[in-house]
Amino acid sequence: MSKQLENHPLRTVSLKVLEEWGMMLADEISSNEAEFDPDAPLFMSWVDVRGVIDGALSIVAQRDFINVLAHNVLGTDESEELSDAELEDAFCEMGNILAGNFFTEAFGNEVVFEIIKPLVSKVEPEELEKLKKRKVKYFFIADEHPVAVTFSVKA
Amino acid sequence: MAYNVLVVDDSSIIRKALRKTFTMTNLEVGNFLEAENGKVALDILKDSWVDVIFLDINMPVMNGMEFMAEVRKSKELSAIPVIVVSTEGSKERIDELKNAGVANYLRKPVTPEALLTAITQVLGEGKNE
Repeated sequence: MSKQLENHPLRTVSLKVLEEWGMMLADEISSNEAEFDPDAPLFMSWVDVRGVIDGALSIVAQRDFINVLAHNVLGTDESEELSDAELEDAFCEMGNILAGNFFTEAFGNEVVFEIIKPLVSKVEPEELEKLKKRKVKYFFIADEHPVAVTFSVKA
Repeated sequence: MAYNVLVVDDSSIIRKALRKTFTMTNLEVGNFLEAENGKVALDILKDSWVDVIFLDINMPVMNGMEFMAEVRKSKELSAIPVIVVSTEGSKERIDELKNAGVANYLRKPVTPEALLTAITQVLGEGKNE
C-alpha cells in the first residue's frame, strides 16, 4: 500500500473512530476480503458536508456491525435488545463523528464546514459494487464485521 | 457533592453515551437530565436547577445557537455554564460560540479525560474533592 493511501485522513480517522468511539478491534482489509453477508441487508449512513469543499461521506455496514457499535457506545450487554431507532441513531452518529473528524483532520481547525444530519437507509448490493469503484474508499473488519467508508467530492 | 447535569442533543445515543462517559470519570452526578432540543431544555430548566449544560448545536425545533439566545435573556439561566459538544470545531465556530455565551467546547467523541477537564475548567476543582 502506498504511503499516501496509508496516511489518508479518511483511513486514519475511520480507524480512530471505530477503535476509540466504537470500541472495536479494527483493521483495514481489501474490498475482496470484505465478506458482507449476501443474505442480510446492507445499510448506509450518508453524510453531506459543505465547506471548503462540498462532499459526501458514506458508511456501509450490516446490522450485526451496527448492533455491536450501538452496544459498545451505550455500554450495554449484547444480550439486551436495542430498538431499530437506537441502532439507526448509533449508525447516524458514527457518520456525524466520522465526517466531522475527517474534515478537521484533512483541512485543519481553521476551516469552517457544515455537516448535514446523516441519513440512514437500506441499500441494494449494487451500491457496494459502486462503492468499490470510488477513488477514496476503505474497507475494515471491526470486531469481525465488515464495514466500508468512502468519501466523494461533489462536482 | 454531586453535579446536576442537563444534556441537550437530538441523538439519544449521544445523550446516553455522555451519561456513560460521566460514569467513567470520578465525577459524582446527581440528577442527569436529558432534552432532545433547546425548547425541551428550556422547559426542563423552568423546574430544575442544573450545574452545567452540555449542548449540541444542530438540533431540530430549537438548535444550540437559538437556545443560547434564549438563555442569555435570563440572568438566572445565564449563570449556568454551557459546554458545547459537537463535531464541528473550527476556530471561527468556537469564537462564535464563546461570543454567544458558551463556556467551553468539546469535540465528539468525548473521552472521560476531556469531559473531566472541561468540567474542571468551567466549575473549578472544588466539586471534585
